[in-house]
Amino acid sequence: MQTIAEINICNEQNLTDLYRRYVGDYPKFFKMDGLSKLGFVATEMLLKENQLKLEENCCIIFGGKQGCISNDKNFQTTIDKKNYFPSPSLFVYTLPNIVTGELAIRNKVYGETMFYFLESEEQLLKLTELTISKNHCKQALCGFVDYISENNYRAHLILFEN
Amino acid sequence: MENLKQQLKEQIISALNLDDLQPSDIQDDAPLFGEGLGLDSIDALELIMLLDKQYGIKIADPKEGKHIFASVSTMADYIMAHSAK
Repeated sequence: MQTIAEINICNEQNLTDLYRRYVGDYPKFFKMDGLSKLGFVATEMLLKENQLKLEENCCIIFGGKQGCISNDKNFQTTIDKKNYFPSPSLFVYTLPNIVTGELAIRNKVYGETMFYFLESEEQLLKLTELTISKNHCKQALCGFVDYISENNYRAHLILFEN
Repeated sequence: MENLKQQLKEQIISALNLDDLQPSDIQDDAPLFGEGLGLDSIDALELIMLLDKQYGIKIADPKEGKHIFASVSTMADYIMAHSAK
């Protein structure tokens, strides 16, 4: 398992500002929850800065401590017994693995995708190594991502080649 | 009627998180789905809720949605005819 490219972003800038600088032509970004925005922007930066594309059978293996708790809390605020309007657009992001699906759609990737709740990046790296060794994928995009708010987040992404 | 259309555009942008759009970017008669704003089925649910929450209008027959949400103009017409608030 060889590292092809790596990126580490942490509270650098507002994610929307990063989106406007590095992408700008994918309006669906604005509908995503914070975790998906973070994974999306970090992946775009990783690929653009290294002039890379993901292989069609790339595995996308993400993990983190927080999952999509930020969006879950937002969704909960829309569940009010007196004024009952739970938001469908927030509901669809109440699973942390949605971020990997967004990346697969964006990059036309058909490999396995998964999201783990983990305490450390080391655990994620072991799982990535295991996944690559048991699969026939040439590439794996591994990302440890935690999103608290637009200006409080961290993402460490590594693109591996088998 | 013009005020209602302007208000609707602002509410659509807010409800659907179309943060890169201004109300002036949405034409009154442009299709909201398909080749227009490119909204999807989740957006349709949000629009149904918008009518309920903001205007007290419940859409009883889902088949009506295709006509009601064709454009901002058709939404405004429907609200004018059915508004309870």
